[in-house]
Amino acid sequence: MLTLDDLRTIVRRRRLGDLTGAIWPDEEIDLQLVNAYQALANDQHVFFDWVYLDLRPRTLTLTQAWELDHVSTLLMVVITSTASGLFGETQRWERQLPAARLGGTDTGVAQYTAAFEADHDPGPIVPFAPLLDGPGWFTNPFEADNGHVATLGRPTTRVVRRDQIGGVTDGVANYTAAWERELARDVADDRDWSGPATSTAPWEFTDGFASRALVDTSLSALYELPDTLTDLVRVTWDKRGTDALEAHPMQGVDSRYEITQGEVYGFLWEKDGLRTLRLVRVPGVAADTITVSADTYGVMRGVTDLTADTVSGSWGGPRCIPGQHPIGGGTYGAGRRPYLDTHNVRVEHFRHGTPLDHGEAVCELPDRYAVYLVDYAAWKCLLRNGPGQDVVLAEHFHQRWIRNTARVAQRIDGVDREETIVLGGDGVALTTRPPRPKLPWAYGSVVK
Amino acid sequence: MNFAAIRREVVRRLAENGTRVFFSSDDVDDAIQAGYMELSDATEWHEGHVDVDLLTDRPYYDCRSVVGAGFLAIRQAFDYQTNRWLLPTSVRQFDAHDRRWERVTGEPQRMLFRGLWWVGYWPRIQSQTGRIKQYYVDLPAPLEHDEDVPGFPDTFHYGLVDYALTELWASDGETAFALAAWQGYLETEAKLAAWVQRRAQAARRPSMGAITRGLPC
Repeated sequence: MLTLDDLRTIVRRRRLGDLTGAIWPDEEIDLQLVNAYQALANDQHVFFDWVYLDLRPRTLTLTQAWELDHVSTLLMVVITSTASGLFGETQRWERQLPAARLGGTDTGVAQYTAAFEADHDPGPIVPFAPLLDGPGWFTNPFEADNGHVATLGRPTTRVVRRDQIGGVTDGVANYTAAWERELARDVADDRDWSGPATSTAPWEFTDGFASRALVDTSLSALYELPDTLTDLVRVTWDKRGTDALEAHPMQGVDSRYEITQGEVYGFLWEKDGLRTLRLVRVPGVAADTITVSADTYGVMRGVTDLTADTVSGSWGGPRCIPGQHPIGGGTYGAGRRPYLDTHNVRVEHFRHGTPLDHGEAVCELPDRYAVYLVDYAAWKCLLRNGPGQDVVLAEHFHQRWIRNTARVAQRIDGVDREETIVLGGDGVALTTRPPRPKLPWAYGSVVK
Repeated sequence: MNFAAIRREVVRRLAENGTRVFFSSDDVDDAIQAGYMELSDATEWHEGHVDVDLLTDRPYYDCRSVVGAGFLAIRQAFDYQTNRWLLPTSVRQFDAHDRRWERVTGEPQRMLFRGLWWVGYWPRIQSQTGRIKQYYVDLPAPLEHDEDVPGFPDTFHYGLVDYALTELWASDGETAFALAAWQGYLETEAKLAAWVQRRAQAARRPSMGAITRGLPC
């Protein structure tokens, strides 16, 4: 596999003849290689992948989206105070409300989940409260008693691992009850609110503790799509294909489509944001999950929770698990997170390749296709006004780039060209389903 | 022409002699290798097949692992258990026919292809038995020794010379020479691609009612 350094060397040596970088600096060539990489991913359906939306009640470990930029510092949270870390409200004024509205006993207030946040300007953290309470990292007293969480609250310095705080990227929310948004509408900007969420770790639901805590277990219809997604191909629910719906016709077909619960039969990728997918109907059942009965640390070693198949060999980590598809750009390493299709939504899509953000970054394309990027970089570098400009030669490499991308498109659609003969028909066309019913074109409007 | 002969011809066309040598032997060799790969990629002449061991409930197989790093394109697939060829089918056709097609299990009957290197066999088999004979096109092994010969017919070997000259002259800013050599390469590539695609055409017997005009006697 070629790295960014390798590709740059090829551009210098076999296209530009500028081995020392006298005319074209490394940054310029790298930029064009990355542009080509992204153009290939965007324009051609090269990187096929899928991701599971993992339907489950919303959890929070972050209170603001900007914290995601500081994820590395959240990996270890050092507890230095006697604070228990227990919180059930995000604003002090909530304590003035009757206990019934709080859903239980008063458990404390926190607006942030990691100690370092207190050092930041409170402006972006809290919409309107001048004081900062926290940090809080669990929402129910039993979490401290249960074996899932280490003994928090001791007046000693203790390092809490990621798994004990539910994972650092397991949701963003800064309010815990839906009604808070109604009450605070006059004093807070709606755009600063994210939530609601009532738990800090998914195991609270999967391990059956949610009912003890009287938390809301309803599922959301909105889910975040990966940033790397370039094209949505297919969405399935429970291994069944769903329809790509349009918002405007749906208003006529079912005006309550945003709130009706049930089996998911379609999805909308409109009006809710570029990276937000809306499921129709709102899922009523959480996705099935796998309970790993062995240790919760390290590489997965026992697969009896996943399959009854005989394990081949007795050394190393599992490399192939029935029914699982390797998600992501890597082709190495051990399986880390198996997903089940039952009651789960799978989003099949095309995406960008693994980032080429430093010299040793490996291009996800096979070597032969990675070389295509070189022609694009040569085209752009030779076109640039200044020393070394050669418009005619640049156009030559431009044409080669067009040739290369056409070849990629042809390869991806190549299966259709390999039809075998089936007696009685072309063997490819299957029965076509009738289209989904639509309202008449003039429905609801005055026809003159 | 073998590797050494191609190299000699490239050097002769570069008109480098005596002490006025700009391109090293490595430069020339690398350019010839690049030409070999480019011509192989464009014409898809290097065909082969591999036996793919079926895995339990496997959605897709990575052709980069199954075939190798030089994998280019998929071709026909044959199931040894049923002695039938798998029918290439797109996911859209599956969804149009039956939304629950993923739940069907059994011996493979159809083949899917996703992205650039994921191949799937439907239905998914539920045991780790059986093999599929998967035909493919990939890159040939690079020319290593002087006596190595490109795998396609001699008639088209000169295309490697033209490609190497294109690359070397382009890197030296000799645009006119590079483009002239490129035209020569393109002609060779087109001829080789046509020969690979229609190599059995002359031997085909005309069927009843078919047009025979244009075929050699």
